[in-house]
Amino acid sequence: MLKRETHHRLGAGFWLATLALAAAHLFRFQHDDSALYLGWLPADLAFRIVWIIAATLLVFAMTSVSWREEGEASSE
Amino acid sequence: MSDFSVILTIVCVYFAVVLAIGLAAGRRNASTAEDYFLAGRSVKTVVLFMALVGTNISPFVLMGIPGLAYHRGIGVFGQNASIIVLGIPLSIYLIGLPSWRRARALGAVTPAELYAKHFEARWFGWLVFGVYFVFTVPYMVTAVSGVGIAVDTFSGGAVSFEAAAAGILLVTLLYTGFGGMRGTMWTNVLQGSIFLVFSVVAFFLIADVRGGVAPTMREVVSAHPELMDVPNEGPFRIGPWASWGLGISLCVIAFPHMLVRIFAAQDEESLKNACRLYPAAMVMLWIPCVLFGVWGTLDFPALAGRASDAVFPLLIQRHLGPFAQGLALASILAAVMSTLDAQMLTLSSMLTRDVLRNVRGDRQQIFLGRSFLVVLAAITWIIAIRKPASIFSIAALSFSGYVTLIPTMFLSMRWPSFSRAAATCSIVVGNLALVTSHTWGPKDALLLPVAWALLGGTMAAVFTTLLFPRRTRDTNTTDG
Repeated sequence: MLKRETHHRLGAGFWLATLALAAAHLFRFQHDDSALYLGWLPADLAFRIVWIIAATLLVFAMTSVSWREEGEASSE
Repeated sequence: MSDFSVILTIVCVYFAVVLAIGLAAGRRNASTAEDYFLAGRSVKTVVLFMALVGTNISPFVLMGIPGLAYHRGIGVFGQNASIIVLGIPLSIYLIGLPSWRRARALGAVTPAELYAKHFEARWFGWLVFGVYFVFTVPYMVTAVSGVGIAVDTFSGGAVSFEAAAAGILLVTLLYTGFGGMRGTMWTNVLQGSIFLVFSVVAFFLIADVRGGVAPTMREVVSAHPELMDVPNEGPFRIGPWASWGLGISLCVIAFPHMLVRIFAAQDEESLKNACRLYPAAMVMLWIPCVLFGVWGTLDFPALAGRASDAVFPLLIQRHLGPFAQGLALASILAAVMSTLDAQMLTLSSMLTRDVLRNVRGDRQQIFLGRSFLVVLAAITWIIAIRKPASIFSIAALSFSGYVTLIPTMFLSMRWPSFSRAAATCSIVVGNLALVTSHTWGPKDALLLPVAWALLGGTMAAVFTTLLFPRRTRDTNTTDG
């Protein structure tokens, strides 16, 4: 079990990362005529896929750390 | 064997399997309302995940999104898909998890029952049921409309929209009525597998016929470069973009048919695993759906307005053979039925347990629940055959309506002082804000109606709680 201070840091980190991703979601990319990444991906779609990978990592962090902490807190 | 006979055979096989699963599940059900409506709260990771995905994915994704991408291009992916990869798991954690714990502690079977028991007021359950009913029926209409359009396209008009709509409602009614929650969740595993796998396979098959993914995308860039842009105008302006992102992320947990699936989870681990698997399923489905719409502009350049809702079946019909067309129709039916069954069952369970006061005994509840399913199917059919608007437009209104419940759902589980008066004010003000901004708001408003509804509902919830905080013996709302 992690120390209380570490819990708080991890919790704060999780919410900061969530806010950062939410802010990044607001960016929209204009298309440059020649830009198809990997030969088929338009700029905005490529950006969204990278965003989704980051979001997936955050979901894993949420279920592995924040969720567990809450479960421990509610069972105490 | 004609092409249509092949398609029909595949669809009949699909119907037979689904009905068989529903019947088998029905035999496993004990004669208790909790078992019929919640599968005995015993659902584990795989079935739970597939049921959540199956319930979440409807013709809105398989037909409405390609139809929208046909007109607006790849920006539709960022506008709709990416944000829910984070939004849905986060809302399950913030709202679904404490609701699951509280529903267990209170023995609540339906979402309306949860809030009625939580606030110790039966009438509050009726209010919640009313909001769910008003916004779920239009959403059910989109599902039935999707089937009507797909069958009409694949049969070349041989099967009318009305007959197709009636057929899908009848089959769904049968296996839902017999199998209850267990039946719908088991069939959702099959249905989810069908549409997830088929959308990916169809994506590569169509790309292959057109010469590959990269050449097709280059062709789109050359013919319709505007579809690759996400300009800061119209629905892609920052205000509508942000407010729609908020709406589409939050509405899913507010679907009563999603929340009741969460109640059925056996344990927290199953919920966690479902969250972890969610992003992969969303990517598998949404990228093909958006690109189907964009590719459709090459083959069918003249689809106007809601005619573009048919672009996915049209692409399949143009490029693939009758076997694949049959599978495509089965996958659309699967997406429809996996949502429709949950919606019907949830509304019927809320009516029998929360609205009708004098129902005594489990058997009478189940009988009334089945009877209400029939009435609900009839109402949906009558509205659907009038074809009121495009799938996306109806779904957008429906989703916005669900979001008016979010402040109540979140605060009732996370803020011990949140009172019944505050919840009532929040729901009323949220819906008034939605109706006002939807009806009288300017077309090019900075924010969409869903954002005003959420803002109004949240402010009403907070201010009323500060004025009239909850005073009860038990204010510990976050645990069991």
